[in-house]
Amino acid sequence: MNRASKSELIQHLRITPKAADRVVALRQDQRFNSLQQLRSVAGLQARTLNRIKGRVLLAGDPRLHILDVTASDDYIFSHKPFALTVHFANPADLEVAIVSVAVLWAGESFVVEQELTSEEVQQCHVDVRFDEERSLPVGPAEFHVALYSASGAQGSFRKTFYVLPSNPLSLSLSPAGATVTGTWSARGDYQDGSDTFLTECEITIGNGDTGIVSMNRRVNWKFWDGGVGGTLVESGAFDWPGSISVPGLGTWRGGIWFSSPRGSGIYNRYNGKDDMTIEIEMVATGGRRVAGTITCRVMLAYGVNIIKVGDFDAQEGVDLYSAVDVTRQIYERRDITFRSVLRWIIHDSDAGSYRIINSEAECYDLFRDWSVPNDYIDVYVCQDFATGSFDGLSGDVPGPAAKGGDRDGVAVDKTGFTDGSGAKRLQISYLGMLIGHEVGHYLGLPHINEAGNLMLSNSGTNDTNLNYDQYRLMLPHGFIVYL
Amino acid sequence: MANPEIIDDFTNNEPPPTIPGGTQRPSKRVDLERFNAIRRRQELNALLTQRTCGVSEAVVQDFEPGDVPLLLQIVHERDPNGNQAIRKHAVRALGEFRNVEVLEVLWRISSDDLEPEGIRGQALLALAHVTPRMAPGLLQGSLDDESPLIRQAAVSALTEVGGQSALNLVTELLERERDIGVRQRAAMAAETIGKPRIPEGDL
Repeated sequence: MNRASKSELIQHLRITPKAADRVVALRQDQRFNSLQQLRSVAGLQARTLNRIKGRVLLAGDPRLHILDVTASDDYIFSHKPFALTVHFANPADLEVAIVSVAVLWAGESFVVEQELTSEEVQQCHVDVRFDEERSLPVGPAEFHVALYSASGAQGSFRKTFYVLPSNPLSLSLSPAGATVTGTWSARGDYQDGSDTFLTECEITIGNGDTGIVSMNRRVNWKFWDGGVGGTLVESGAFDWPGSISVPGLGTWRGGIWFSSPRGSGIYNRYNGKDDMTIEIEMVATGGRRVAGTITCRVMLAYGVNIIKVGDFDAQEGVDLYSAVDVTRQIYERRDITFRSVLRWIIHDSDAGSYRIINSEAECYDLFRDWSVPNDYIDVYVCQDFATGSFDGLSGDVPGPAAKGGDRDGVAVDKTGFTDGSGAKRLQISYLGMLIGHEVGHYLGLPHINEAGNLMLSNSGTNDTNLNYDQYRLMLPHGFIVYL
Repeated sequence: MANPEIIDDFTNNEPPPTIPGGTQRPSKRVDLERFNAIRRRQELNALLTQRTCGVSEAVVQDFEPGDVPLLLQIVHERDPNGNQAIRKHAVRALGEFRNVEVLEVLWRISSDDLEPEGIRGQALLALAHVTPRMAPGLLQGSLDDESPLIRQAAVSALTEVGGQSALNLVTELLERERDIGVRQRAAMAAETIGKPRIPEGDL
């Protein structure tokens, strides 16, 4: 900015000759120490200014940029080999060497790494192949892609795909309505007005053949306790109101719901906080029988007070609540959700030095001095943690189920960064994990040494799993209720 | 809400859903024997986040002089898809290395108002460790920064450095500072700053 000629400014910053003249004139008066000085250049709109910031930020950037990740054959089918195409940019002409893909799916996460050929480096895309042994079942799968140069530069990207059914005819059940739980369970949702439990789920019939398959309208249903073949709680059948045709290489979907009044077997199981298995069976007109099962249960919940410590930019505020959504998703995958998210702020004028946490002791002081008097977990989001190494802290493990004292909360670093346009942002995925991790401590979870687990002592963005034992461990906490 | 009572008798006896093909898939790794920088990069990624939670015990993070190029690489990567916490901890780790290139990078980051305040503040602290002797002079400008968070971080860095020069700067700041957070930190610093705390060393 201080040395470039007028033509170089036009070429690199993509500004008009007039604007370039003004930049040159400005720097004759005062050397550029900050891009903010460009604000005084007449004719530079905010959008242009942001673009300049991005270009200046990227000038000489040694980064690898992953631009997109796509399924090489458009779709990923269950239990079939597939490939992902990683598209990247390499402005610094680095020696791109290895692509690494971590797969987060219903089972244990695994990694597929591959060396790049010189042709792939030249073409700036690489196909990462997943063979039969690494094929996936039906359902969502998240792919975290890292691209490395031989010198250790790294580019990152993440993408989620839904793995489609590839078998000839199958029936699967999934949660439905606004009461989805994350372990792919249907939820028994208590209805205050009618004193009933409502269970909603969706039937998907997948047809892997090219011809249309017609189904009989009769739908048989059973609620089991202890899995199919255990104790039969209730059963019945009904006729689907219309005809059912599953298109070739396509799916048919239909939603069903059960309303269980007080005194019914299903109501009693839900009320006893017991979970069940729903089994649905249907028959094709040709006689082929298809069936699917899904677990159903009431859902646990806790509430959070999200407390901003100091003032946040507008975009940072948006990012913060996106991060809280990530936390909610992490817990919903283990059937625990939020009762509610209450939003609070301690303004700069009141926050004092608590905006930057310098030590554990200062964190405890924050918990002592500030608190929300309800039965939600207080989550303080600070501007910075300058503690030396850690980014978050829980008052105790578990934290108290009553407010008061200096241990009744968790605190995290807001994890800010500046994006390519110069806007202040928060790293949603990491912050969501971080809040989830510290809340996990508050609910009684210690650290655990299990790959991909949320409660690793060094958990990162990809570490979001909670296992069943941890789910059980959180239940007795006084801030946990069921919805 | 049906019943906001303490849950202590929850029953979950349903067998977990079966996953065709089982719950495990084998990883396929590239032998990193030929890729020392990538291997070390992956180790550093893990090392830098070894203690991201304050509940865990403090750990000693051993960085080697040969790690400086990779740490600088991580610091240069402002990848929105990357882990910002790793970058911040890399800035902190650079504070262990007293060399001119590190000093220049930290100085540039600390005075770059496009960087997030968390990273700039971390750079100020690291800078104090790289060159405690020069630190008061380098930090002086940050005490007048537009952002109170940076002024507060500069006070923390001066507290780390200690010594009469640091104390003088903090005392002068107290006379003009209006932000309550910075004032609080500066007042605490004025009481606690004593002899130089970071051992001197040459760049």
